[in-house]
Amino acid sequence: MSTLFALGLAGFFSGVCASLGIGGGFVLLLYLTAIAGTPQLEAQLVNLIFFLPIGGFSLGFHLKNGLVEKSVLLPSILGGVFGVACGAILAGWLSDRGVSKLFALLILAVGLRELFFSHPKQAGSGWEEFLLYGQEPDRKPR
Amino acid sequence: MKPSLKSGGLGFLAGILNGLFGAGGGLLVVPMLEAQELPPQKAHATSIAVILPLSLLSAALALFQGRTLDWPAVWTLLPFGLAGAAAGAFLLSRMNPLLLKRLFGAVMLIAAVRLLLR
Repeated sequence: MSTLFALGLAGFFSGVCASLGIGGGFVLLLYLTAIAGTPQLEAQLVNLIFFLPIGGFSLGFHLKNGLVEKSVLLPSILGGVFGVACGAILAGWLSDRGVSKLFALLILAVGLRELFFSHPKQAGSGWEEFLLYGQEPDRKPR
Repeated sequence: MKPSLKSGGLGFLAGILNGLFGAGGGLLVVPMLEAQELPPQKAHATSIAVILPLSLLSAALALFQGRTLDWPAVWTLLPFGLAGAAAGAFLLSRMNPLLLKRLFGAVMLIAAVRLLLR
């Protein structure tokens, strides 16, 4: 399988999973790090840039439909700015290998949760339904 | 605790994950917003509004730190990613989301072991 084809496939499944609300960012990171052998920090940057247009599109839709709770945004983003700075410093301080191992532990925990502790009501119940069906999911076609 | 303090703490933790791993902020933000009594749909939508600027900042900091960005990979990924997002939206009402979550979990476990042994 050519690298280009594999990359396109990873992008496609990442988009599918993002749309289904089951962790598109992780799919792309997993492909880039565990399969393509891209260094962890380089893969993370590709993933971040990949998310910007897709997240921007989704956010525009949600704002239009009044689904964004604006009261939590300012404190969350302000807190997040400090968090990002700490995370970036930590990433620069740890080696690429160190971040990769920590990431592996994180996805191990998430994988165990999804495999053994996910419930039907959590699955696909989020923003992705509204992306498709607007604010009235009960009326969606089945 | 004041709601704004809770939100600030939540953003801080999500920011650490985003800055360190380039992903994963939503893992924290969605359940914590739901714990603040936001309905799931609003929690998911609001999480994107929180994570998007943090991702932009994380990317800017990573570039500032001198990390290399594989632009050809990004340009290859984007159209496929958008097509995948549209396909996922189409599949949403036709697939069992719980089965998908379990499959996703299994793939993550395999990848985690692979990364830990690398």
